[in-house]
Parts: sequence; C-alpha cells; structure tokens
Amino acid sequence: MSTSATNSNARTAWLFILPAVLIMAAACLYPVVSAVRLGFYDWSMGTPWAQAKWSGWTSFEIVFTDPAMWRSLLTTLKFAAVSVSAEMFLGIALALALEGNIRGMAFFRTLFILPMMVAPIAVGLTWRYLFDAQFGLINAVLAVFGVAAKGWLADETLAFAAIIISDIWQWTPFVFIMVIAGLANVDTSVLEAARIDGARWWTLTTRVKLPMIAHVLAITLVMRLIDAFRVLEVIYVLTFGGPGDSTEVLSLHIYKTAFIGQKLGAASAISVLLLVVVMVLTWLALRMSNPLADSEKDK
Amino acid sequence: MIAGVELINVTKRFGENTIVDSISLSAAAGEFIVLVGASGCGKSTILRMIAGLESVTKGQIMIKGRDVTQVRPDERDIAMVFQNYALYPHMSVAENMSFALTLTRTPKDEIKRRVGEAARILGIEQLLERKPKALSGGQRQRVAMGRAIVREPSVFLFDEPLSNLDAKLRAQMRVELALLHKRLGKTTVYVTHDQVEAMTLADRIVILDRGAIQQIGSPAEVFNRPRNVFVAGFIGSPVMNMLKGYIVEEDNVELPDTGARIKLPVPVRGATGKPVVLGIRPQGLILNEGPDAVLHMQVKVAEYLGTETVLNGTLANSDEAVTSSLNGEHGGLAGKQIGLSIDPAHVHVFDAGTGLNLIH
Repeated sequence: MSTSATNSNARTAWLFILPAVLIMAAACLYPVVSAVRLGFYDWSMGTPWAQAKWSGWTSFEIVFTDPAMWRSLLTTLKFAAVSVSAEMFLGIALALALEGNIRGMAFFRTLFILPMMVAPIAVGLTWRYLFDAQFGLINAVLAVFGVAAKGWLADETLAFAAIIISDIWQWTPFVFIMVIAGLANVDTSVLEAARIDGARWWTLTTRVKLPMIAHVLAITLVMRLIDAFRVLEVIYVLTFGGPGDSTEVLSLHIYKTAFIGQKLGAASAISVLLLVVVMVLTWLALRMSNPLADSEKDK
Repeated sequence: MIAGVELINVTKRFGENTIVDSISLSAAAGEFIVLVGASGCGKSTILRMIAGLESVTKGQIMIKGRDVTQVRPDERDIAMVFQNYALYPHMSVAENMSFALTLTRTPKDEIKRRVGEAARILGIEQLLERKPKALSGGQRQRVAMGRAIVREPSVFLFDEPLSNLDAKLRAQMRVELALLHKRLGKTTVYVTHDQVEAMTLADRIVILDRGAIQQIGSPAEVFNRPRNVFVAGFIGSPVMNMLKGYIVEEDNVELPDTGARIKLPVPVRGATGKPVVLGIRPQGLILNEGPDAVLHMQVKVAEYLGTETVLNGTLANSDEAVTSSLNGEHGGLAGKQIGLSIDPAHVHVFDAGTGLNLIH
C-alpha cells in the first residue's frame, strides 16, 4: 500500500476515535489538572475563586513536612498491603475451590458476590453495628466462647483490624469473580497436557493455571490497589479515622484537610501525592504482566 | 509378543449415551494405528481413554502388557499431541518441551540433551527461546511433537494433529510424521477424520462408526475389501457409487430403474432374488462409447483435477447419482450422455439389509 493511502487510513482512524479521546481527556484530565492547579493556590470554600491567592509551592512544602500526612500515608500503605494481599489470596483460593461444574455452585457464586454490590456507606454502618462493643454481634459470638468483650473501634490495633476485615469482606468477591472468569477461559487441553506431563494439583495450579491467567491477576491487583488507596466511605462511617489517627487513610486525611481544616490547597497537594503513589504502584503491578503491552506485540 | 497398546472390551458411557461400545483392539509394538471415522464416532474418546484423560466405564486398557485402566495419565508411559497443540503459553519452547522432565527431576544436562536432540530432529533449534505466541501453526505443531518426543514414551497418541494446518503444510507434516515414526519406531495411535492421513500413515486403519469398530485392516485391505457399506463409503475418493438392485442368476445384479445387468466378479451362491447394494468405485466406471456399454450416464458436472476428470451426474432414465473418475482431461463431457463399462475389480455387492459385503 502506498504511503499516502496509509496516511489517509490513519487519519480516518484518528477521526473515528477522536470524539472518544476528547471526552476521555475532558473527563479524566480536567479534574487532575484542576487538582494540581488548586495545589498552587490558597483558597477556602465559600469564597470566590477570584480571591484565591497564588501560593506557589507553599502547600506542597507544608504537606511534605507534615508528620500527620506521612503517618496517614503509612496507614494507607499498610491498609492497602494487608487488605489487598488478603483479598487476592482468598479470592484466588475461593475461585480455585469453586471452579468447574459442581452441583449448586451457581447459587454459591451468586452469594459470594453479594457484598460487592452493597453500597459502601451501608457496609460501613453494618460493620459498625457488628463491631459495637455493647450490642455488636461479634462480641456476642466471642462471649459464647468465653472471650471478654472488646472495644473494637476504641482500640488502635483492633480498629485497624476492623477496617481491614470489612474491606476484605466487601472486596474478596471482586477478586473471586475476576479469577473465576479467567479460569473459565483457560484452554482445558493445556491442563490435560500438563496432567499427562505429570503435573499434580499444586504444580498444575501454580505453574500452569495461575501463570495462564497472569493478565487477569495483574489487572485485578491494579484495580484493587487503586481502590484501596481511594477507600473513604466505609472508614468514614466505621471509625472516621480514629481512635486518634490510627485508621486515618490518605483519602480521609484529604477530606479532613479540605472540609474540616478548610485548606483546599493543601488537600489538593496531598491528592497529587496520592495520585503519584497509585501511579507508581500501578506501573509496578503492570510490569509483572501487562495485557495491553502484550496485545500490542501480537499485532 | 506383548502388544504396544491393547483395548479389551472397552466401553464408555456418558449417562445413558454409549459413546464407545465394547471395543477390542490391539496395536503391536512399533505399529502405527489410525482411528478414523466421522465426528462423534468415538475415536477421540478412545484415544483419551488410552491417555487416561477419560475414565473407562467397562473393560481394560493395557500398555506394554501392563493394565493401566486405573493408572494416572503421567504414569502410563504415553505422550499425546493435541489438535490445538495445547502448548503452555507462558513458557518458552524449551520450557514447554522440558516441563515433564523437570517434574520428574531429570538431571539438567540430561534434559538439555533430550530437548536439543528433539529440536534437532524437528528442525526447531532456533526457536527454543521463543514463546508459542511467536510461532506459526506448523512450528507450534513441531513443538507439540517435540514435547512428546523428549519424554521418550512407549506410546505416542495423536489427536487430529494436522487438522489446524493449511492443506500444503498438512501434506508436508504428514510426510514428516511418517519419517518420524520410522525413525523412532514407537507404537502410535493416531486419530483423524481425514482418510488421506489414514491411508498414507497407517500400518493398520481402524474404521469406527457410532462407537463400534467397522473394520480393522491395512490401507489396501480396507480399500480393496471393505467389510460393509459404511467402510466402502468412507474409504476412497471420490466416494464409491452405491446403486440399489437385486441378484439374478447368482452372478449378475440387475438395476430395476434402468434394467441394466452387471456381471459380478464372483457369483454369490444361493442369493438369487436378494435385494443388494451394488458398490462400484468411480475408478471402475470406464468411458465406453461403443454399443456394448453397460450403463449410460447423464453428465452434469465435469471436474478436471490435472491427472483425472471426475464426472458427476445421474444414470440415464433414472435419478440415481453416479460418479466416474476418468484418467486424463474430459471436461468436454459436461452436459452429455455417455456410455460406461465396468471394471469388475472395482465392483462390490452388499446385503441391502445388513450392509455386509457379500463377495469379499
């Protein structure tokens, strides 16, 4: 094909995708750019934007030297590391246990994905009642086994455990559903070839099945990581960052800085930091197995 | 002598459906056996039972004299090549080929030696570091065979290994498979629906229909002495002509539509008046423009194939379809009525009721 024809084809292709690209750019980039810009201004809500003062790097300097922000970032990293690892492990284990055609499995699969569909605020409220020191079901169950009542949401370690438990409860189903869909697409003859080659269950799972759905696992991990760093509602309702700031994840810290502290510039600066952290982690996760890069190579 | 593979009254049922019905079959050590039949005839199920991928409902499977009916696939001393190659997509060619050996903790230099040797035989040495995705269909096929070879099994199982390749490559791989078998001399069970593969590769062909063996024999046997109508219709290209008629005077078949009488190569004793199916290979219908032509054919389509011309049409004054295969170029016969005589060597007579061959 001649070069001019190729160019005109490429132009046509660009014209087709242009509207989508423009909408995506507007919807995704505009808020990001605005947030970054806001970081350079000193502005309080309720005052006209025209009165916002240019503050240069001040907000960033304040934020980066604020120990509360670093504590919050550490809390977020701990929260994401523990909850996402547990969710990946449990989700994969459940999917491996429940794949295939076992009688009544459709019912269980539906049951397992229900938590994912519950609104986060409702999840937060539900767990708050469950963890309630006086009336909560969890203490009631523990009492049956002779364990003394615990102030779940009043103790720093227990409160941190509580937000992790609620997150695992809500998001393991997401991992489960992604992995089980991935496993359903694995070519059965490859598994049969592995059986003939002598692979038993553990080898088959760890050296054939899971590597074959590495793309699905990578995407699932990225999506869970991004979500774990943005988690807000459940913790807002469950602990509001307390006791002290033991469960104050970064998004809650941003919320408090912006709407309680009325420091929108500083809140934006932290948002930018959060964005950078999530981008770095996503990049690392996709380096393990990147479906987009692989589909490029296929062409 | 101990058979390479032996099936003794093997039955496979899925619920109420009998897929394989009490089959007995024995492949001598080093023999190349081809299971052939239309889709759904049970040939792949038989292969999968030999591999241990499918349980056996009833009966016994023996490999080199050892009962393996309840033995795990990897302990049966077999290797299998799948239709879609079934390569591990996340492993390189070398890793694909050595996977089984690493699981049995074979020493590294032994693995290297065997992989290198198989790669050399198959001409894929330069591909060892590539992933399956970066290979063509033919190369993937070779890797799948390499994976089977490095295990040095007693029995090779092939499940329609060439059906995903284009016609030219299929013909080439067919030759390579034949050479490979000659070189390795291992018992091979090969499943295909392609009769050309069956005829060219097999020491013996097993023709299956609806879960039962119709005939076992060398390619020449099943072609020249088909046991029944099914085998006669399945083996041979173009397909054998099947004309309804009845036997007169023990050594003639009369076709009621045309009144034609066809002399049989050997008489069928005591069968006068019996309704039969007369089978004539298209190669046995010879152009005869003289007055002694036995049949007359209205040619509808003439397909010129280079060395032969296949004429498709009907018997004159009848709507029974007939095909004739003539040497040379006869494209001009399309639309014409022609006379045909019959080569008795290509004539078969089948019982109209049981379908059994009455003269061979």
